[in-house]
Amino acid sequence: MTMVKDFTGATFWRRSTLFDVLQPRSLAVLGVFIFIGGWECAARLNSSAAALIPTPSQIPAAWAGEIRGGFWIAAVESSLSHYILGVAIGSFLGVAAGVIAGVSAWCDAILSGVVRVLRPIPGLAWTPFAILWFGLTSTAAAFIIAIAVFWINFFAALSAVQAIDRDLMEVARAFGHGGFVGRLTKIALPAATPGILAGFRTGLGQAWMSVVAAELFGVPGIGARMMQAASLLATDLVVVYMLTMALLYSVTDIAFLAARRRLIAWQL
Amino acid sequence: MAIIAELLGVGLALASGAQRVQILDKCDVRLERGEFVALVGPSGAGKSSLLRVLMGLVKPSEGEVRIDLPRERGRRNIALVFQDAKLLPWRRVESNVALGLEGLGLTSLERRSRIAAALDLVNLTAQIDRWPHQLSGGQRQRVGLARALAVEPELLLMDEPFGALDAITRSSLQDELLTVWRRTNKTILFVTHDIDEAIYLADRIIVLSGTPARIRGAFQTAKRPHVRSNQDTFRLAEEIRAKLGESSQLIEFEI
Ligand SMILES: Nc1ncnc2c1ncn2[C@@H]1O[C@H](COP(=O)(O)OP(=O)(O)O)[C@@H](O)[C@H]1O
Ligand SMILES: [Mg+2]
Repeated sequence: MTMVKDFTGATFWRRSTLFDVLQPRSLAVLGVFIFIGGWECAARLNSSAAALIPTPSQIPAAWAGEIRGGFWIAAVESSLSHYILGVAIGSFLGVAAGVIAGVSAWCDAILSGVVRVLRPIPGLAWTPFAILWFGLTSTAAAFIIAIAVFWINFFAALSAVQAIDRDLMEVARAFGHGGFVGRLTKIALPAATPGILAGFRTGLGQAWMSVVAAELFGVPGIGARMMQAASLLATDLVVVYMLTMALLYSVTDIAFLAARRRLIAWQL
Repeated sequence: MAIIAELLGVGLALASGAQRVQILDKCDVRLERGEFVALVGPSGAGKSSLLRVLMGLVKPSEGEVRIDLPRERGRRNIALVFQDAKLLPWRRVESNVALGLEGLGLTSLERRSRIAAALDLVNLTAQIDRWPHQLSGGQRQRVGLARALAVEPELLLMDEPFGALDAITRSSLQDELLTVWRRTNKTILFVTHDIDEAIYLADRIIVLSGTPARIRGAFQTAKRPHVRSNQDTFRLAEEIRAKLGESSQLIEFEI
């Protein structure tokens, strides 16, 4: 017998099927093997593609060589520093601005015009200014990442605060927490935390895309290393760094989920 | 008996879009220490608005609110029990009850004993570590009551607290509330649209209805203990229904 959950969260038992015996997890692993096997076969059967796409079997050796040369660690370290700085600054400012605009109708009204103008401009469009202001430095890359992350967090926080049950504000007032600080700390922040965290998580993913883009113009890191490899037609190295990004993304997402479990235990 | 809270000729007008809507008009309410008063009226009449005025959450546009209660350390004079409990879902039962105690300057020991006492009054001690979503509707409402009792108010305002509960849970909570009232000697203003509930619980029943809403009458109930239904309660319920009917005819006439 297998216990299953339906979409309402109710659990019930039913007879095990082949699907239950195999477990979704092992099926996921199977899927990865089929994908890699198919790729390997396709690349080997078509010899003219050798310059355009590496075979999976080349990757481990290329990866090991990159690590031995010290390039991999250097690139990861440098990208991580851009990533962490950009995500930290962008998320903090985005959440702060979003929460303030959500709590105060005045701030929301004053900001709305500026938001309308600035919001459609993608982070990458700031590259010329990033280079002018900060040069080809880590700060420039972090700046571009921060802008991309800022907007995601801003809108997530703003709509999370605006969606709060108005009656809860009345509860705060009835029990002596009607001031701005009381409403902010007793109601707005905790009530909006799930929405804010959802925005933060989206930002964590988006930021990795911005890392590559922000480094394409020469700030050292994963993106820069990828561009070098591509210009030398070292496609195996390109794949190594693609996988590196997937790996780093998974690590940050898993770390995030562990942290979230503590922050919003009440929802789970 | 001492009057502890009073509405004198209170009128309330609120903005609804571009219009000003008169919700309450010339309302006089007088609450004496220790009495249990029910406020009945159809939904949308303005019962919650009247509580908000009494609680000081909105200023009346006319008239006066007088609260004659001394400020005491570690207490709040008035507390409100909300319609759907309105617990904070991110706080466990214990810290939901603690909400009103925060900012009162209590030591953590005092705070814990106040929470324990309040939860004991509503028979919910075993659920102290639960999240609100792990409680039944009746339990949630009892936490809402405990949250209000924890601040040791002299005046307890209750806004249709049992309106969303099933009949069985409701009647047992009504009995629990009467027990709490007897044990704590609070003054209670209990809002409901259920006439039978008002007759069973209260010493005195005030009828609020019409647009704008006015106090249409006041009724005294029989000596306690009250029974759920007998000839007297039927007759009183009929009288109150007739009073509510009068005012609804009045509305039609005004239109
Ligand atoms: N903030 C508000 N602005 C304008 N109208 C309101 C507001 N709050 C309540 N009302 C109106 O006032 C009337 C009385 O509401 P309420 O006091 O909640 O009634 P009750 O509690 O008796 O059901 C209703 O018609 C409602 O639409
Ligand atoms: Mg109401």
